[in-house]
Amino acid sequence: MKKVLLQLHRYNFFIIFGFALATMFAVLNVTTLPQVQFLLIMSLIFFYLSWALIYHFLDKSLSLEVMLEYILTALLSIVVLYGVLL
Amino acid sequence: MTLHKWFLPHKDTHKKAHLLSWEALLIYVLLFVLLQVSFSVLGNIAPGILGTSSSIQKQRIIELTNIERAKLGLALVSENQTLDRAAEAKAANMFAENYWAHFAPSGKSPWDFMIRVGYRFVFAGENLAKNFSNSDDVVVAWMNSPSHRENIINGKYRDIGIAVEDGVLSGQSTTLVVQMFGTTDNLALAVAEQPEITRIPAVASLNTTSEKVLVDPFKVTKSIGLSLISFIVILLLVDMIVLRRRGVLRISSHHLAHMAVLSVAGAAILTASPGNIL
Repeated sequence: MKKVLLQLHRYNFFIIFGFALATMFAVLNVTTLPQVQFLLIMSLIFFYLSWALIYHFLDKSLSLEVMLEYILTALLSIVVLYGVLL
Repeated sequence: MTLHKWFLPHKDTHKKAHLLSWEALLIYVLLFVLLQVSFSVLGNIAPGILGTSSSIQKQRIIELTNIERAKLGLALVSENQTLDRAAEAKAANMFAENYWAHFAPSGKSPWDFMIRVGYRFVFAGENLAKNFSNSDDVVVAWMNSPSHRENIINGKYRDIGIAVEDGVLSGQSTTLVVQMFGTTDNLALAVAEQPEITRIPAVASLNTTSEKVLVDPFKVTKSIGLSLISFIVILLLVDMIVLRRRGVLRISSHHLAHMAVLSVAGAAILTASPGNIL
């Protein structure tokens, strides 16, 4: 399992960018359905937080402060999107 | 403390700019939540101050509805004064009972309003819209939603009734659009009555233009949200460039990942529209 993760680690940026790009494409295709847009971005945020956890664990740079930055960036996105879309 | 420390990484320790720290992020989140709570409180203590202004035309909605029907070769719907009254009663009831739904908290259904004004239908449907600024956007939004589109292009309907009413809903000034469709239980009678029904004075379709100066919470939230996200993305970009130029490797969260997520959120905010349909 760890070997697979280490292999994936090489492509970490492609993974997060690929997911973000696919979400961006989907979000721009459902502009009249804000609830769907919100759910799509929530799934991206869930992926982003999981990615951060795995990336920094493999990178041996996982710390509370690092994760706090990811969590607060995610929280800011959620709060702003909730206020605008829902 | 010099100003550049707020925007650029520290020149000796290479720590992030203060405005990018987790403490700053927490403050942004709290301030944004405070803004939302303020709108909610203001809406309750001073109803009508917040809201949107619009220039929705009843006749334009009927015209656009018929354009969509004509595209599919369907019979055009005619404005029915009785159905107009049912739509007006529904809009008035939504403001009175303060709800945004097809069914009132008191249990009234859209059909109850039709029956109460004497519109005896065999087929009927209802589309609702709020917070739109013009008629075209309302019909576009309905056409983009499969269930609302189904009402607009339903070949069984012969009559249309529209109400465009300004009022205060959940503390916010808004314009409600109620679109009702129907076919009476006596089609022959309905056809015979049509010329009389469509003889509506032009004054009935005057623009319902709200000229109140209001604070639009959607516009404020959208502008602040978008500015905040753009500001953070720019700071992240500057931080990345400065560190690269200095040739410094810092153990921290990954800027590119933050930028990817914030960009997607920004795109969704940029394309967001204030209008709601039901």
